Amino acid sequence: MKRFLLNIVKFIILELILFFIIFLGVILIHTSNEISAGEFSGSSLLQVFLLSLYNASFLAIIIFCIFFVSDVTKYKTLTLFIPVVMTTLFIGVSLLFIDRSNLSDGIILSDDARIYFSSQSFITYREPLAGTFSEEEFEHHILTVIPDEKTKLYIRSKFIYENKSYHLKQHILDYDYNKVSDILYSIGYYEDVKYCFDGITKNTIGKATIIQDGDAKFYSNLLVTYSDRYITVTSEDNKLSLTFDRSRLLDTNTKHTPMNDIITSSLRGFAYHFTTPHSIISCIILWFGFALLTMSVFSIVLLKSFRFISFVINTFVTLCFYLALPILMSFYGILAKLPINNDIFINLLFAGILSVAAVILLLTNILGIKSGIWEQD
Amino acid sequence: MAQIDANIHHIRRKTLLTYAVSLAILLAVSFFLAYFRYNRNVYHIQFFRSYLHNMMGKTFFENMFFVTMTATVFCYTLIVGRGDVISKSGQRLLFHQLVASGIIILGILTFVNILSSEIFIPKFNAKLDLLSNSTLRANTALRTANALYEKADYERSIKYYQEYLSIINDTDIDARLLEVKNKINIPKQLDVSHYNRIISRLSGRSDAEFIETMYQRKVNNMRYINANVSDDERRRVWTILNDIDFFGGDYTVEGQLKYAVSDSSVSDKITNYSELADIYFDRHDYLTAWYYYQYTVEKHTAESRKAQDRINKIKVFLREEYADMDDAQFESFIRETQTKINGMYNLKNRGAKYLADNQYQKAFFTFSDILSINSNLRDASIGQSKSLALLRSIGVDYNEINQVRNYSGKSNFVFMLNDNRLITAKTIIKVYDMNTLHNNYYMYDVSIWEYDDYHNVKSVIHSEYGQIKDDIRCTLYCFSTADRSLEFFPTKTTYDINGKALSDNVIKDNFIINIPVGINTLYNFSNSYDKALECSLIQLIRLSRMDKIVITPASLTKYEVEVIAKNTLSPEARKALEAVYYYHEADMCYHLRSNAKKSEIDLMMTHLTKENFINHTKALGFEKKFIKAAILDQISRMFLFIVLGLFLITLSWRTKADYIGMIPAAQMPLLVLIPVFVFLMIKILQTLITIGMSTISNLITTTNNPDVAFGAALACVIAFWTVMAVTAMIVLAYNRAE
Repeated sequence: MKRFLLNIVKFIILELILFFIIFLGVILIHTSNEISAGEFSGSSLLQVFLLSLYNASFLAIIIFCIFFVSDVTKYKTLTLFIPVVMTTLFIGVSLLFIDRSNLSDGIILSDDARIYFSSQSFITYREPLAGTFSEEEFEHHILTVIPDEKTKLYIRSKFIYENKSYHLKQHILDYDYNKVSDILYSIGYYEDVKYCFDGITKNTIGKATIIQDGDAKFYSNLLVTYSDRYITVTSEDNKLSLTFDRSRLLDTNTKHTPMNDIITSSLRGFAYHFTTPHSIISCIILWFGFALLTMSVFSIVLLKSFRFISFVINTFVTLCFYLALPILMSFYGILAKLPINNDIFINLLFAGILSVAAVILLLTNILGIKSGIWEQD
Repeated sequence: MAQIDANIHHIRRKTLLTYAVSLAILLAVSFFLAYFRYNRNVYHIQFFRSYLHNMMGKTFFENMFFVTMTATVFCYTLIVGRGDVISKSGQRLLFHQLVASGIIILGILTFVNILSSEIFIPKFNAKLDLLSNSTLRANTALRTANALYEKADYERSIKYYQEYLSIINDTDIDARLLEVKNKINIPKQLDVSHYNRIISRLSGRSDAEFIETMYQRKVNNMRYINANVSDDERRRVWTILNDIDFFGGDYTVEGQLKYAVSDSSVSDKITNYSELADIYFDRHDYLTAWYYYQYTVEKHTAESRKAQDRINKIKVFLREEYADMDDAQFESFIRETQTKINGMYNLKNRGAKYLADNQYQKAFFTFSDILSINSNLRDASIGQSKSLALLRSIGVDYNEINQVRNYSGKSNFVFMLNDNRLITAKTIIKVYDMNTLHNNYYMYDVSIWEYDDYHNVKSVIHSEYGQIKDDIRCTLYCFSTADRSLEFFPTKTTYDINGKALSDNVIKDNFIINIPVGINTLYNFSNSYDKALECSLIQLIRLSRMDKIVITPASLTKYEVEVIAKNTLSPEARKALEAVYYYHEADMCYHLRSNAKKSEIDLMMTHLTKENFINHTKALGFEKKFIKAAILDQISRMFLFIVLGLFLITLSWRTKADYIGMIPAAQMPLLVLIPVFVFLMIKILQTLITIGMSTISNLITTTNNPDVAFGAALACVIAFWTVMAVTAMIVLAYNRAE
């Protein structure tokens, strides 16, 4: 029993350390965008807090399974439930004090020009791609201009032909979106415009250099105004008015690789999936089901003959499980459409399904051990 | 003890063998990858060996990290087993004895990894880039040449064939070039039977008459083409001969050799005109000899009398040569020749004057005019090559830049020359010159914008063409050696404060400008983080320090001082420059005087800095944040090699199989998962590091003193990785050999 209690303490310490590391990391990333901690908005801080809490909980379950559970002989099943119960407890208590009305699946950036523009550097701002192209436009001005077949096929694969026009597929990766954009710019369908800003403060820009079509223009004392999606830069005499899409503007400042996109979007979106339900009880139920499944997924393979392979397979499966969370949650979306008005009941149902899956996995595991397929320490 | 030593020795052998075999496999795989990825459209078959070496080296070093980590896992999970830990006498090895050799190998490979990312990989990349660039150029040149050949545009096709041959050795194309050359060269002499055959095959009377006029001079059994055939006449002769299939039939490559004129070159060392005249006289080139004798006669030297005698003799010989002329005709011929010689003198003087006035293109064509009258005049050909060399040193050849336009390049360049000047170039094309072994950069549609402190445009200098001369200097002048009417100077448009254009001026001097960063860096650098990460650490550090570098050059080339400085600097600046440097004959360079006073150097630097003569200005053309992030990222990746290696030893040892035979055969295929896992883990870690380092870099740029903050960040990153390495060592030491 003493050892069991020690394991609880170990888990709490582990969770706290992980939470601290992730929180610090995300705050750093966030402040690097948000200029200074002094201007950090309350809702952003909550967002970072939740993001760190959920990700730390997930990691804590896995690390606990690797390093602590295998040594336990007494109360093994009970020990297995330590991370599930403890993380649910942490999350439940935290949610009590958090107002979740303003949460989103991304990080909200404050209205500060310094986030979007870096001084003394030329940026090439690219307009967001048009979602729809007419048949003639697409075939004659885009496809025929592209020189090689491979690129042609690539571009065609990213659009759907419908009602005599081509539509950009809805769920394409940022990487693909940027590649399509690159190609359209390289064939001259869109034209690059380069901007260089200097003397940037929160709401003003000292001077701007704009280069378009071989022509350079210079402006000074510009004002920056913000709307939900756009940033508008205007000169005092209204000779110049530029509108930038916030998300596109940030893209010019960050590095895009598929791996980077997947990691950051999973990290950011992870907490959001568990905080969408309205009531705290629903959120807690949902996490409980998920935590249980995580734990069972991570001990899916137990090969004593070569434990490194077991570790590798378990890591792969868990990684896929983590990344496939949006798919899992789309089932939740289907359940939410059922004609049941009770939020808690839907969450109970979903968490129940997850728990059943977890129990089946655990039972299979035990069955594996008993039949000698899996070997136990 | 001996038993333990034997065990240690055994483990060391196993460890060494594991790493050696892994790296050997990597080498073999690199070879096969390079071999099978070979694409003859990208790398010409003649570059195959060079491609293979470089691609193989690149693949090997790029994947060394991954292979080393995989080898580490295999070594400590499978190869070194429990059996190796216990000696025959039952003694147990200590854990450090078990992993010592592995750690040493990891240390060495970390060092190799640093070397490869700093030296080897950038070198291989540069070489591969060069090979593909040259192949692209060669293929385009050959395609264009063939297309022109098909269209019977032989004159232009020759240029492209020559360009192709300057890159690739190809005997077929060599023969084709000779064939094409033959097609545009009209025969200088024809034997009478040959001549009669041509005349008989001509259908039109006017054509026959024309050929007859052109080949008027008849000596012995040969007919010679007239001395002063114009380009139009030459073209007509060629068309007539081509129509009767003269070049395809009896006029073969061998034929051309037969008709080839004798070598007319005379050593440059001979400067005495009388001596020169004698040489040409002996060669029976009477007209050239007359030109030089005439000069000697007019100089009234001791040799004048002999020269006059020789001129008289020449007239006698010419009378014999033109025996078919009557006396009146011959008199008129002599008069004409005399006038021509006088004309040549005038042209030569004019050419020299143009040279002195820096009007090199005019000088070039004036000397060309002399050569079209008499192609053997050495003075004129020296003058012509001198003016061409000077033209090339200050401008770009119109034919060359138009020919290059077919190749692919990069577009939309923009960067600041200094705080108030900005340069834009629509396209820049890089071409590797096989002869000079340097890259040439051609620029199209170049503009330099100058604006006042209130950002009003003061002036715009625009040029259709430009070329980078020696890395940081750019000329906006374009000349032509084919058409005397084509000469492009940059134009300067001045604006008033309301943006209204005031005046347009053609800039006939000062068309060489300095750019702030070496063109190679600018051309390869972009706002792409991946590109920044490809640079070596040294290159990145140089880039990050760009706006602070002010160097007093220890020496300047003659070209820099006499051409560039003359063209770009104000008289005061030039004076200050000349006060500090002296000319050293032996290496033809200007060197900094050892006794130059500091005040003199400072004065010179102030001038040169003010007038942008020295590379010091701020470079704004790329994202500086990326450079800082990339520096931190590169350093982290160096540490990652050893840190991850140490952690993997721990992880592998703790999760090892007792011995290979213990794993059931059915589970063996699962071993493939190990490299996949290692690969994925490395990628995830590298991505996380990049995110972290760009975060730090973002934070740095928003502080008040970015340089100090960067120093601090650098120290923090190094400290962090040192702590990680120490932790990895402690975790490793915590293991037991059981």
